Amino acid sequence: MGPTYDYTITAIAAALFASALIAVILYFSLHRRVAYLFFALYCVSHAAKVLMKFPWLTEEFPGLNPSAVPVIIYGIVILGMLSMLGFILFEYEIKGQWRWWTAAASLCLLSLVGFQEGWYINAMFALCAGVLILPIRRGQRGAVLTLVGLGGLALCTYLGYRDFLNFGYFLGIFFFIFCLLLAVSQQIHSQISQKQEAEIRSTQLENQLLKQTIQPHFLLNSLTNLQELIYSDVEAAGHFVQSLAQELELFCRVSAQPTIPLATELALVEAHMRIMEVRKGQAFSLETLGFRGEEYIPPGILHTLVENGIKHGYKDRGGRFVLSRRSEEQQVIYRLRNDGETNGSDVRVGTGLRYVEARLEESYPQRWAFDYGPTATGWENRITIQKNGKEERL
Amino acid sequence: MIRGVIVEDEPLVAQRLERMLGEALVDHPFQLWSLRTLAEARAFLDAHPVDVVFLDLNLHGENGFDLLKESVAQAYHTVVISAYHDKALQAFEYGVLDFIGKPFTHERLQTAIYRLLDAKTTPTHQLKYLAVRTHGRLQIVPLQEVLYLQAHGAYSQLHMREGTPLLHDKSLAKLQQILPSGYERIHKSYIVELGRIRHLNNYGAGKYEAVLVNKETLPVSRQAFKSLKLRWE
Repeated sequence: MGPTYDYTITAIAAALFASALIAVILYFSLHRRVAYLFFALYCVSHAAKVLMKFPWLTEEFPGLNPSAVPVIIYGIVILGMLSMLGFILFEYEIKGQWRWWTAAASLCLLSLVGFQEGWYINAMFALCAGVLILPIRRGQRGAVLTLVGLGGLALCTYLGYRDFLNFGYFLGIFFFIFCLLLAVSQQIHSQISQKQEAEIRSTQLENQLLKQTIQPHFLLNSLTNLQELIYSDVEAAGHFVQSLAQELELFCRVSAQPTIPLATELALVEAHMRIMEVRKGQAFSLETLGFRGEEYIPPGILHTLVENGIKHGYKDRGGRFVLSRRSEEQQVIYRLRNDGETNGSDVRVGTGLRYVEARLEESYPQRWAFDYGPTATGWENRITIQKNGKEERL
Repeated sequence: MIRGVIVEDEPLVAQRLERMLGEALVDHPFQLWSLRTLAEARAFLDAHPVDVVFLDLNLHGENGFDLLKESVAQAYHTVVISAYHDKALQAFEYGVLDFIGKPFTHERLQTAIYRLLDAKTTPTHQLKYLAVRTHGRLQIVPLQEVLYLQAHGAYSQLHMREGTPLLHDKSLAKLQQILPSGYERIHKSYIVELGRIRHLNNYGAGKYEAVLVNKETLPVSRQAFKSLKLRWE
């Protein structure tokens, strides 16, 4: 006797496998997000559950003990519920996952010691819905949709159980999968647009830095000095061109990076100081304290602060800048002080400072502070960066 | 004697200006002072009458333009020397004698000196506003509101279409240098725009008169009448 196929059930299983396949493809094409693997596992486990309920299974695999079938199904149900939880935890990047896994494991154990399957499933539904409250409150995209899917699944299962709806449970599963796919696509969409926004911001910063340095008036003023040097001091003119070339070359090299070695930034500041020394006819120096030589910082921020310092602090004399770094348990503090004048019209809110803030936000989102103001001896800029606990060369 | 002041905080640029101005003014007796800061320049200019100030302005910010307006309201001429080339038109609208973009050559500076020495209007001038100091405050007057200009000692009186006349610190001769073409010196004491004249009366015996749109009459000198009539008709 040939196997007895139920085409409806086969179609349901095929659709579930297809959904699993989509999830696997998503996993490989989108940064190997673990959530998608849980999603695939969820679909596969339900497909398996459907197939296990087939009478032909025992006919096809004679070695399979029919009494083992309910046990296998029970295992599959547990696997299915756990993968639902796993998907939610990973998709919405829930912190402190171990608590939820412990709760789920406890429910599993309870179900093994006589807790009914139906109660187990209900309890897991409640647990998943509980987890979802967190991303919903944070306003994460797709979280509401996932909850709707979960609710739909619960409703359809209930209606199916009460014989109001044929295949209620499976309809519920498809509704749930449909909602999950929609939620995933929403998540993907918001990730892509976030990434694009970050790229645009980054490009804007790069342009701003280049514009700031290769801004026409900086070059034109420098060239006017060069004109005179060519006439009055040919050798000095050569050195001046060298500093100018060095500053421009460094700028073009670093402007596209989010962070650069501090040594490179200091070379940039050094080149700028040499140019301004010639232009102002005064000496400027930069001293550093407390550096290990492996720090990274966003490009152009010290340069911007030194440029501002020279522009506003010294009308008719040279100046001294001191850059120090102090590492504390939670944070790193950079201080740039100079002995410039601070009286008079010290309007320092300009594009330069906004540039510094934008760069800090790009590299250390929500964990930086930038303060500045006059001191007894001049001016101080202070940048505080909170450590993020990861390997970071601050 | 031409008395000039350079206000430039970059010594090499100041040195270049001093040298080149010296060369450009070689045929004229001149005195040149070179100052580094605006504070020094203000103190100096309060105490010393000069003919021209060569001003390096950072015209990018609002501050730069405030300084420019302050400078053009004075008795002396202002020549701006700046890397902000895009601000040239606006600077001319406010009444600078010249705007020299950085970097600059000897020839360009020489042109500015020609403008300074030439009594006539430069055809390129696009003056739109006059900055007037009244009771220590700066007032910006649209040129189209001015009916005619009259010499008033070393100063000039601006007769407005409406309201009381205003006193400008520049002499009529200096204003003539920055006014756009179309403004005629009809008399040693009067400048008027051709469009404001309704009639020209010739009473004979060297007595001429211009009747303005508001029926006010101004004397016209014998030397000015012929050219005025030609240009007015």
